[in-house]
Amino acid sequence: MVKGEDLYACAGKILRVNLSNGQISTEPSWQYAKEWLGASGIAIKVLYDELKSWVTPYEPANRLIFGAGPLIGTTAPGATKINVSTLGPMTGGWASSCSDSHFGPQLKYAGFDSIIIEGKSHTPSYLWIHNEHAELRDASHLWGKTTWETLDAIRQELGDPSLHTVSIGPAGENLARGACIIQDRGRAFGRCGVGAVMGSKNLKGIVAKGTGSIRVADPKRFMDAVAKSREMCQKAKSLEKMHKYGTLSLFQRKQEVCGISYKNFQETRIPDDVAELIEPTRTIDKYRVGQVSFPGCTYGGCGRVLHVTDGPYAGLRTECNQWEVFGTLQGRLAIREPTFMLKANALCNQLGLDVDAAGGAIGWAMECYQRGVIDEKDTDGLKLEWGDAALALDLIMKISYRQGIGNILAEGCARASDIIGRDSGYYALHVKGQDLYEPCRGANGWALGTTTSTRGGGHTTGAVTIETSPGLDIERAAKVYGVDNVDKAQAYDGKAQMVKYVEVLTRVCNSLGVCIFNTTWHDVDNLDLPELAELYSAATGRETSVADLERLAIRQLNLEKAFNLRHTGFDRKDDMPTPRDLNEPIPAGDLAGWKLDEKSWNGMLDEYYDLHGWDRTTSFPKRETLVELGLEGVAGDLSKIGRLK
Amino acid sequence: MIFDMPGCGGCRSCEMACSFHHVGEFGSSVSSIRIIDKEDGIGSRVLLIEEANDQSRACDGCQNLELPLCVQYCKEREPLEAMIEELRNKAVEAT
Repeated sequence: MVKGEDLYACAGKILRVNLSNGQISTEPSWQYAKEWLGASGIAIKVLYDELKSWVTPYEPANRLIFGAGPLIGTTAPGATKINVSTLGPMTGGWASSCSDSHFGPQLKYAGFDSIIIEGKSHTPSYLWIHNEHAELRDASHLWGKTTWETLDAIRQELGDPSLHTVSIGPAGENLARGACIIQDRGRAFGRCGVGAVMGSKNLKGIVAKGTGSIRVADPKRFMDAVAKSREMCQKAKSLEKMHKYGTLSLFQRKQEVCGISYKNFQETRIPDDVAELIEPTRTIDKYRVGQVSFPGCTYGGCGRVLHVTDGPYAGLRTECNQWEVFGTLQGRLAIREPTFMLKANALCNQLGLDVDAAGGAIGWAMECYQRGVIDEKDTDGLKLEWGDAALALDLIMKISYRQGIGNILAEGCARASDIIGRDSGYYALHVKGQDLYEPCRGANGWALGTTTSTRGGGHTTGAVTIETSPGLDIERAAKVYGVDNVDKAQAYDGKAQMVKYVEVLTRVCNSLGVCIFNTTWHDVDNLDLPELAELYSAATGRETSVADLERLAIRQLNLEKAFNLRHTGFDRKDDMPTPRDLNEPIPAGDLAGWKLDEKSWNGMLDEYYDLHGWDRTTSFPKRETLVELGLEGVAGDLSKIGRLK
Repeated sequence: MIFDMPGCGGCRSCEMACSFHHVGEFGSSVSSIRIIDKEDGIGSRVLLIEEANDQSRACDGCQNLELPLCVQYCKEREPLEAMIEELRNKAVEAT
């Protein structure tokens, strides 16, 4: 797989596809691999360099970039996640999402580390990559199909039932702003509207198959590192729970720490009578028929197949959802049918609609209806009552097909509230325009990381989780995160430091291809930066220390920040919690009465900016920060537009 | 040799491990073990290749290792370990 300069762990080539003129070419990965690690790191560099400031998400000049990091396609622990990045329609800025996939290793075995797609196809197309050969094929007959139908049709058309795809459904085709990209039948590149960008390019899907292989620089050192890391993860306290229930195992704890949205964040835990009905581990135990896993996962898979045998969705057989669906749809919309989460998840997977974009918009609409801000005249006669499961599923369809009120909801709650007006913005829970599922009261490391996230509100690029972990090994956590009060979720001190650590860890993971659930982000017994540095060094032959990884990750973060400053008007105000989270105390539960203190929040945010070398008033990077990271040119760019301190 | 493994999550780490065992590189095409998805989604069918073909190597039972490399990566390892053992025994009987 390596030609010219030896490039271990990487496949060696980047595939360039211009959908407007059908031109397909390749370029070597080495020019990016050393400085930007891989996947999401390469993507932000390409996006920053190649997109002019006036490019908008749906125009052909936007790039849609798929990336498989250097550890993908090897047995490195947790090397399951590939990345999609673009200029996104939810925030208008940096858009980036990771998903487990079987497609990723195949892409690398076919000879490619990344795919950079620009332009727009005149008619619907799909990309077929087979062993260094890539071609665009007609997808007119696939347009309109769900992602499940698309997978089956492509497998049949190409005569290979083992093929793996990434594809969009009707939501992406119809440019629902929160449309996502789905791997095979499930696991999503969920947030930021990446599926809408793909739909705007008339690109239905990508399928890859490779018979090649990946070499590592030092096989013995690599396999020793793999064995040692796997052994660490096998001893993690959360292993068996994750294997059996995935992140739905978090339910009881989330109830205790008041971390679940109920009726659109009006409450932050599920009332006990409803919780009793919808307790998700019971649903899993009742209907489980099989396990779902991805290459290298140390849990033996966090997913399972459920076969629903009774209730309104009897007959449904699908991978069970993870926590996010439970929080953002089941809990947020106050639905009492325990199998609703399975059906909603399956439907969103089929239609290619992000569950948070669905929950955020529907939750906003239901609350507006509850408060009389909108009525049946606005909703095509529909009564938007809390707990109406059939209505929720109908609205998911309407959003995906932009029908009736779905056409407004398809814009996401932030824009929907702009369209409706009537002071409905208070009920639109979003950060930087992206619908939020994360309640931001009661856990400050979680809240700070969620609100400062450069890809819009979201918890996977900076939010701290371990501050609320039950039975936390405080000594180990303090060592990893660099602060003593690791288990004090309501404290404001030390959170900026914890968030910065997670920003580094998640970027290293997203660039290398490692699922963050296999790391100290989720469980302090798991892989940490030293193990990732060792795996990366052994795989690539480039001796890389933890300090090196930290610098490279912070460099990526600053480039994301600069990218946002060029394409959006984000500043300090966009790193604040929603007005609801800021103004309202937790209404019920163990933390009843707890309220965010705005002065303390601002003190915490000041500390966060200081740690990053960014200006407190505006959040803009300081010149010396960018220069120190080797981003002098970026400093010059930002200075020209008045966004440098 | 093909057998049903209801507990298999389909991760295919075994394929990558087997490839590494044979040729020191990670892939799936030379692998002696193949995971085949099932329509009903309940586990996988596992194919152990006993005779080499133009792509894949034959399973040698990882005679040089205490535990076959594919088994080392498998969460639900007992059925896989048993099948490799059976294949190893067949090979011994044949000689």
